[in-house]
Amino acid sequence: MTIAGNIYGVVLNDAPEREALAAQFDDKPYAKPPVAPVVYMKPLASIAHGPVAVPDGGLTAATTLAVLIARDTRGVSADEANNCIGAVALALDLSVTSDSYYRPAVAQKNADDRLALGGFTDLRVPPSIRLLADGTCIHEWSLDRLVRPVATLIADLGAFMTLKAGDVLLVGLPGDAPTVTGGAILRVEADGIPPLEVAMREIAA
Amino acid sequence: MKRARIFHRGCDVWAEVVDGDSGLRLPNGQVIAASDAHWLPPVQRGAAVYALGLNYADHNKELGFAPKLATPLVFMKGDNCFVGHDGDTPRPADGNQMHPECELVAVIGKPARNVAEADALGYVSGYTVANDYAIREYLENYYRPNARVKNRDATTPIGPWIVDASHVADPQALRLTTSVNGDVVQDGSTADMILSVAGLVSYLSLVTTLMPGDMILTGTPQGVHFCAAGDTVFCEIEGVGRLVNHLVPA
Repeated sequence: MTIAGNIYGVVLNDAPEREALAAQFDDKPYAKPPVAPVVYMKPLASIAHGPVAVPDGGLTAATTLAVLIARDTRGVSADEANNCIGAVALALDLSVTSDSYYRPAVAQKNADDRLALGGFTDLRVPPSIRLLADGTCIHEWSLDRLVRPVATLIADLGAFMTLKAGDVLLVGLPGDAPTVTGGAILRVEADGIPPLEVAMREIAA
Repeated sequence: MKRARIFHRGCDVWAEVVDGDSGLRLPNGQVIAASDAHWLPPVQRGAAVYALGLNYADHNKELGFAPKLATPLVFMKGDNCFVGHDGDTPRPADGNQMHPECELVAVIGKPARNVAEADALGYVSGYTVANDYAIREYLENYYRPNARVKNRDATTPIGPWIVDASHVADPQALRLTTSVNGDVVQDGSTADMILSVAGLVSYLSLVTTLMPGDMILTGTPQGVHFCAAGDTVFCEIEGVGRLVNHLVPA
């Protein structure tokens, strides 16, 4: 089995980002801090096949871990959640930069080629994920930063929505993800997981 | 033609609706009574399903929003949230503000990328009915309407079937009604949509490539009625279908 269903992701699962935004959470339009995981989805049509076209203004390039669900997650505890994971891969979630989390980000996240995925391997959560542009490391983040670690996230989602076998979950995005422009070769690396490489190209005028 | 996805003797099959909606013709030619069918959501696994919030001016006014938003409010729905015709939807004990939302659903028939509004209906192969329940207690102002409201398991009845687009002369001239235990609680017209079906297909095709089997739930008219466990909810769209759902305690 590989990806056979929906691709889910969460935002605001990065502790430093949450701390940086804490003062805003009490103001409009948010009114109070988020309680449930903040979920987005990407269509299967957003999986990149070949070079990625970068619009003017660039794209926020957020590395993350993609978890392939192998057993339905409804009602699982955090202790049981790892039993629902069939495989993991590195992922690069590309989106048009936005500083608002108020409305769903379909227009920012759902375009074709906005998700690059590496090869799947057996479950492991790497200590950190690195993003390289033309061989130079431009971002690295530790998955210790996740407000909800992978198993907790799956359990908290499973309290109200089932991740089904064949679905993919992107476990969180770093709030300090860099902006990339056309022309670079991006590479995502983490210990023990197949690397991912994707070319960024400028949109032809 | 109307096509229904049903569960029949161990198989997930598409059947043709025949005999004035009373029969279902299976792929092997056998016809079974529609009243005996186990209805499945007519949604293909992996389909991209988009839904609109605040796409009817009367509903926006009722909820205290501007009649027309600067950008369409679009969110996605996962496979887990769907339940077929005549199925059960959990009504949480603390979900006292759970209300049905009758919506016309457009089904995409061929890849749609950068489609002009004038051409957009050519990319729609059929229509169905959805009831996109909301539970207002669970609203949070992050990616609102958030997943805990709109992507709960089995809280979006859809069906009973997909009717071919050729059978719907004008998707902007359809009456939508919702009734709860026989009382009408929504009575609107797709004429009141802010972005039309064609406008929505065109808009989304500028964002992404819509693929065959992808769906757009096009929003709901006014009429916020809070439901209880035990209620039977009917959503009907003229010329498309009548979708039944049972709210059960959860």
